Amino acid sequence: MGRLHSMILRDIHIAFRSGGAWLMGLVFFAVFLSLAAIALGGEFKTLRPLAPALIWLATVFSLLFSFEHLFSGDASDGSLEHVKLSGMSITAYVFAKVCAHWLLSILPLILALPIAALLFDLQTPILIGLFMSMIIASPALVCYGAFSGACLVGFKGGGFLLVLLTIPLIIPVLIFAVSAVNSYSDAGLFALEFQALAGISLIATAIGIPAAAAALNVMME
Amino acid sequence: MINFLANPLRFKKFATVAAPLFGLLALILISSGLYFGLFNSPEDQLQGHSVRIMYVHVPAVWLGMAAYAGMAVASLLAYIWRHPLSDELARALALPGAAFTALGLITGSLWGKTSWGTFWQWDGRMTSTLILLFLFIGYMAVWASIDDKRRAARIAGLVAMVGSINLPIIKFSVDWWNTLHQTSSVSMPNAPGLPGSILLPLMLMTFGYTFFLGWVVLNRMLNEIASAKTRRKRPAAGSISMEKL
Repeated sequence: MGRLHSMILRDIHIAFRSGGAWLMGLVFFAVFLSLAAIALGGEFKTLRPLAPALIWLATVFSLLFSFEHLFSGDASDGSLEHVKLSGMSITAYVFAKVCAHWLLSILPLILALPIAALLFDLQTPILIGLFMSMIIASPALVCYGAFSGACLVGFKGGGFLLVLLTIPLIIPVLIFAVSAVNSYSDAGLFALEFQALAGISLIATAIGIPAAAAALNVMME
Repeated sequence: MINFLANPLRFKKFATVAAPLFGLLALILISSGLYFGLFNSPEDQLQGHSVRIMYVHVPAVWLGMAAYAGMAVASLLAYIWRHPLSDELARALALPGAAFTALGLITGSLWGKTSWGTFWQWDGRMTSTLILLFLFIGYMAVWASIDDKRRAARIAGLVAMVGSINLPIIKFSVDWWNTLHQTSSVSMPNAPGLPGSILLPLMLMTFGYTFFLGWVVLNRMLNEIASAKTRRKRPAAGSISMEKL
């Protein structure tokens, strides 16, 4: 447990020292939403029904571009080998990385949701629905992204391929999350969509983390 | 059967005999299936002659799905026993599987145009077939972008396995999404309860496609074995490798 803890803290320290690179996802999120609003004409009447889908798309895309660098730093400077030599299991290492990534990439987006709600003039139930769907579905996003990132560690031009590999896996998340936002106001947290999202997140955690660890082990063979 | 063919030498013997045989069977079955399908089966009451697209379309999608399943199983075998032939099998299945899926989508949209009046509909089945095509493309892209062959095989195998676990979830979610959103429902002709004159060409085509897939896959594998032999790279110590053939 101590190792896990220090691994997470280490990632956060590195991110804070990197001169704000970890906030790029948030900037992308904001730019994507503004562009979408401009392209759609800027009328609240047309934007409001589309807002959950747009916010979810912005989240997914800003995350997809972040996974490429999830393991590449550790792999290229040799820390990954050191982790393996230290006897820490790679699965635990991936889990720590995933937790740190959640704190650094998804938490800022979740905290930015009220501002996004202002941009689209959303009602409070929709905003809470967004919060809840994001919190429940984000483990699935991070775990599948970590798997794709681990598969493509150290290969040139992995960015687009990573998007291609991850998208089919997270289509169910997107489908359920967008409609969960809308059904929150009727059924609350017990809506079918939230149950489905929680299930998908559990499956993704159970599959994605060991699979990512296996891929990293292949990398180090 | 798997045990018997796991020996690369025996596999090679089997494949050199079976591949042309499969090719011949595919030719016979597909041509007779096409004859029965195009000339000797009744036209549909509502759709007229366009129903004949079914004989090309339905087996293509079936075989596309079967190829993905085969790929996942072969990847699992390769992952557990690290058998290079099984990696080759998975790799050889990907391209024909993608081609069948694409054929299914294209013929499906042509059929859709004649019977529903639109090339594309975000219907559950069509969407999940499209996602299946994306999965195939991603799998092939992994093979193409990783130079080290053994590593590419392992990573691609992982991708295929994770994809296959997700396929039912994707299918379920897309179906659910579709029933929620779609207002006009489209019905496909149901397979059970088809009269023999339709079932016969459909089955002929399905078996023909299957043998065609077998022919392509065996040839691709033989090809890969032959090119591995000519490369003659230094085999890794302790691992079974096809270079020794």
